[in-house]
Amino acid sequence: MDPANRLKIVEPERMSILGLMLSSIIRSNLDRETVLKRVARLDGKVGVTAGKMSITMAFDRSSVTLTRGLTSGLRARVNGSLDSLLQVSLGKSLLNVYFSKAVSFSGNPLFLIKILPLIRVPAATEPR
Amino acid sequence: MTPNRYERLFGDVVPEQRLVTDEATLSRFSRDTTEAEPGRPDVVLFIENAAEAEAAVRVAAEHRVPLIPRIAGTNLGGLSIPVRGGAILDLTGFNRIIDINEIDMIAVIEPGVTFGQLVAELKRRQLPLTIGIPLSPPHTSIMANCLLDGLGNLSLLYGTMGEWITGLEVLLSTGQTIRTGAWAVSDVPPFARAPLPDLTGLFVSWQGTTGLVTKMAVELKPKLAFRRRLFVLTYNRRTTYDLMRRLARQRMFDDIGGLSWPTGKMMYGIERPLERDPDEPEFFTYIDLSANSEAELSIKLDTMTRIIAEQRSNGAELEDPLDLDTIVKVAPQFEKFAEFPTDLEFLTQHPGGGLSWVGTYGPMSRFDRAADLGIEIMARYRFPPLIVSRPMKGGHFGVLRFIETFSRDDDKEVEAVRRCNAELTTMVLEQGFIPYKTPVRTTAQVIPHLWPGTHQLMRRLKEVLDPYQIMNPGRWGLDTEEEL
Ligand SMILES: Cc1cc2nc3c(=O)[nH]c(=O)nc-3n(C[C@H](O)[C@H](O)[C@H](O)COP(=O)(O)OP(=O)(O)OC[C@H]3O[C@@H](n4cnc5c(N)ncnc54)[C@H](O)[C@@H]3O)c2cc1C
Repeated sequence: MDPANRLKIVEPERMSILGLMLSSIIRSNLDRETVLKRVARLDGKVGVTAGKMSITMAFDRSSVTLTRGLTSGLRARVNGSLDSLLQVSLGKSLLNVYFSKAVSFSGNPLFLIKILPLIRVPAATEPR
Repeated sequence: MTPNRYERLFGDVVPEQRLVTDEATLSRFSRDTTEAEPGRPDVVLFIENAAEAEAAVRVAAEHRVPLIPRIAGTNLGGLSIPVRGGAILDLTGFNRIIDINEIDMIAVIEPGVTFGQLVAELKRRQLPLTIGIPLSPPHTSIMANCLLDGLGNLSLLYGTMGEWITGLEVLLSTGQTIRTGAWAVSDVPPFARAPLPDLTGLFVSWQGTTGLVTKMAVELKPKLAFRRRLFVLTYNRRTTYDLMRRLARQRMFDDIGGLSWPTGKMMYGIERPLERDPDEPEFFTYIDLSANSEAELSIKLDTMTRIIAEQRSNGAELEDPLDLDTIVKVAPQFEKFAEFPTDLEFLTQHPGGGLSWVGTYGPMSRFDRAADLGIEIMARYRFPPLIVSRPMKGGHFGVLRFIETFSRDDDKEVEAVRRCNAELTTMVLEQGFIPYKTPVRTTAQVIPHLWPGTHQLMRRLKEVLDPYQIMNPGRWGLDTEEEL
């Protein structure tokens, strides 16, 4: 698939800063072969809420679409402060933030674990 | 080719290659990034030292040629665009750091010294000193910023940059050179303006209309070893301004700056973010702290955390502070805010190239109302409500700026900026704010609000200091042929 179409943002000029931050992490991850393979197996939607901001990430086995707000039919949801979600993006373990009550989850935890590499900031040394 | 009048007049002032009259250069110097009317200079002189400056002033006074000082030309008020033609004095090469007195914490500099240059020099000499640094690009002039009474990242503690000046050496169009501050008495480092009659004010905020400053002594401040920059995301402007007011009076923080929501989006390449997600924060408020030790830093952080918690318990909606280092790892775009001076390219390097503002100083007690009204005006002209606010001088007042980016090639947009800025100016004046670095159009709006005796005295002072009316004419309604 054309790399430019792997990530779509619905109405980018109206997207929240949370969505823009996540989209830039996802875009850099989509350049990596391992993550691409993973996306090809993902189907469904995840809702992410940081503070008062929410976005929906929808996977359709080939691309990711980000929409502002939460849509219906979510397979899983993550909810926390922006700081704790940024910590997850920077590599803090999900269990850690869950047990410290900084972040809460609902829905299918396996699906969440599968999308995790997509929203993690790649270390400079990670293979492409 | 026979030299034209200006080439003849100024031929002995600077070497030939630094006297420029070609169309391309004159046209480049006839505009800036703002909506200000272009104004063509007749000649551009690239001045490199005091002797050349003196010669230029002498010739200009004799032949009544307007002189317009300029360094980077980024004042955002059209202030270095000639209103009546004449000679632009480009002072970028007149840029020696004459002295840095570490013990008295004073630097003596020439007009072209830039923020980037001084910060690099302090670093090179490993001096733990700094100067207040604006959000303007590194190649902008410290002297221009001080003379225009701008603000920097230590203005919360120490006030406007004009207040940092401890002495000036000024060339008047009469041919006289004068000194202000302690310099007027002795040749010691010009440590203060007090306790002489304070003549420095005759050159601050006068937009280069009273004299050509050739040397400036300016305070430096200790740069403390332990530093943090945090961002607090606040969900509405009431919370933002309340937070600013509370933090400002703690006398603990170096700088607090509220950047409204379009800033973040523009950093992600969205040029015209017109609509805010109703659930997203309205302001990114950055808080700068510095201290002599970890322990001192931690007391300051505790104070900040306590104030945020108190606000939250009163129902305010705001996020916990995010460390800038964390944000930068996730969003490298924010690196722009890591070190000053910085180049906010999302404001300066966009396809249309236009950048303008209505920048004001005003009482912090009135920020909320003025911001409400300003946002409403900007929305009507379809400009994103890009606002920068910072408390100054311990919270006695602050800066409130309404910023537009636009295309300079689109006449309709230029006209929209003009009308929007005129409306914003009317509004801020009604709300008790005072526009700074005022373009000609804005000044015309401010003058009717000036106390009549004040403006008359300004005009008399102008006559005394610049009897030939050659210093940056057309500003402040000061020229004798202008109607009162
Ligand atoms: C993105 C951006 C952000 C900015 N942020 C800030 C900010 O945070 N705070 C702030 O205060 N400003 C800010 N500015 C405005 C401006 O850039 C600064 O005030 C800057 O320091 C001006 O320097 P300059 O070299 O561009 O001055 P110029 O525009 O070249 O000069 C401006 C005027 O200064 C006067 N002047 C200059 N030299 C002399 C002299 N020797 N004698 C007499 N008069 C003289 C004249 O009136 C001259 O026309 C910003 C601008 C931009 C583009």
